[in-house]
Amino acid sequence: MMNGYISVSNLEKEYVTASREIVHALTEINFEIAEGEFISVVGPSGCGKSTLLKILGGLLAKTSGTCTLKNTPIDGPRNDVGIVFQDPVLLLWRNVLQNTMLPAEILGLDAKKTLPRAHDLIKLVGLDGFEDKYPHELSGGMRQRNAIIRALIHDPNVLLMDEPFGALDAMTREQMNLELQRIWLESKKTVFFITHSIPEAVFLGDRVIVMTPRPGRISEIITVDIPRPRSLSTMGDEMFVELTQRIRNLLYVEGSLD
Amino acid sequence: MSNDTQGSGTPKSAGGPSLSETLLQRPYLLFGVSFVVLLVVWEWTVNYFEVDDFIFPAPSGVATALMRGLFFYDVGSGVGGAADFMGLMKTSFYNHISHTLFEAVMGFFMGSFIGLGLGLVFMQSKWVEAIIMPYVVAFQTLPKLAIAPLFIIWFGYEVKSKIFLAGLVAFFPLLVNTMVGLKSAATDQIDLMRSLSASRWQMFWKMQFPNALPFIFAGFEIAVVFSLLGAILGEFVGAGQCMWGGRGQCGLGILLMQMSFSSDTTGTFAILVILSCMGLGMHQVVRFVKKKVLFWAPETDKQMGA
Repeated sequence: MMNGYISVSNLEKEYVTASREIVHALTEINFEIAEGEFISVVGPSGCGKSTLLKILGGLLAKTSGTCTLKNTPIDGPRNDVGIVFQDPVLLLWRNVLQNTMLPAEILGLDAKKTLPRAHDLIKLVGLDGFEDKYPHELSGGMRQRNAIIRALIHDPNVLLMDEPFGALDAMTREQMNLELQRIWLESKKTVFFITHSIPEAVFLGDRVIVMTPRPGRISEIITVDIPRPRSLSTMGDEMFVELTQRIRNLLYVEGSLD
Repeated sequence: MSNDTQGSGTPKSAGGPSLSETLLQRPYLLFGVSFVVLLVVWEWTVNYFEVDDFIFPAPSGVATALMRGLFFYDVGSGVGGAADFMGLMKTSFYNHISHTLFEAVMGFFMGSFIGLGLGLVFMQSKWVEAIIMPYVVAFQTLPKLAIAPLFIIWFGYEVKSKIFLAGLVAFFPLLVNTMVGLKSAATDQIDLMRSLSASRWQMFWKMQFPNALPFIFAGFEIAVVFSLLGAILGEFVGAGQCMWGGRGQCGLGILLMQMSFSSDTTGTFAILVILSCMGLGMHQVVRFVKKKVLFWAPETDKQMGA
């Protein structure tokens, strides 16, 4: 049955290494994502979560199984998906506005419509006043905010985020978590958010997919029933602590953090 | 610039920066001071040990020869009024300089832009790259000095052979750096463009080419110095007639040879000073353009081998 907004069933991904060994990157991946849902994916490095994201983004071919978005198979990059990478991947010779407009330019969208939208997005993430600044003039947090609004400029339905805050310091990271929640509440995108931080996964997610490595598979999908908007003090709540502990146990029990 | 240390965090005495701090913050001042010291020591050593001019001239002698050549059009004292073959010494420094500069600059533009263009073309197809590259590498490893006589045979003694030789040595740094630069795009950058279904053309102009620019400019920096070398090399092997003004043959390379034949070491040093100034000047022009174009790349010391 394929009634989710995003449906993944029996997904397998194998690599053949240079020494002709077959590596199972992903196996028996099954889940469904509802429209507008925020899904966090947590797991140690090597559990195939980035591979999974690339398959959903159409950047990587799967070995077997099915992946659909809005009931159409994902077999290549598509315009209704925006991707945010771990590094901001800003083009260094473009300023904030130009970087934000990149997808609109490539997709050939009408600048009359997208330019005001770009300015709105820049305001949304507090980069107004920095429109003509270049990446080397921005802080790490500002660069990542620039990368996030770039992924939103063409108004995709789905936002795929691959550890976008991994390189930020702890304080900036919490700030960005709040900001991402705010953006998500305003834009109501379907978000697939990869992280290796358990608190971050719980804080942001409606549900958390917990993955374990070798081969990468889903250990459990945990529903986070904490009302929104969540604040940083939420992290002290009993339910929050309980959920993070549960996920931590799952990861340790599977022996995947060794 | 203010006297403040730029947040280096080192504790500073209340009396302001010390002399060593002041010098370290001003590299040009430091260079000036060390240069003066070098000249004084050099001058003193040569005088003290009474080194003969034609073995190793004192800086004052070099300066005099330089001034005479630049302002009095009387090039080269020669040792004991050495013979002036072909009236070479009667030709102003500026004629020699302009010839060599013309050859080097023309060669630089020709060679580097052909190198850049071919680099861009080669990278469009793995086939072209695979077929052409072995020849390029083989040709690159040839000592250019060995090719110089051929260029004289093919293109004559006149300025054309020098330009082509300067162009040849300027060609490779650009070819290699352009190709390396175009390959330098990070996987994430490629994924970003792919996720937007960018066409090959968009991929190239919006991402790959700008990405390669720091490499390309590193290539220009190498090429501009090489081109001067190529021009001099060409003149060594066979100089042509003066193109404008002056009598006989023109070019700093042939002048250098002439001075060496007549054991005019002081004059040779004067020419070396001029050559190094020309090299520095051309390099500075390229760096200036690079800073304007690559303002977005704070550190661009991605120097590739040439």
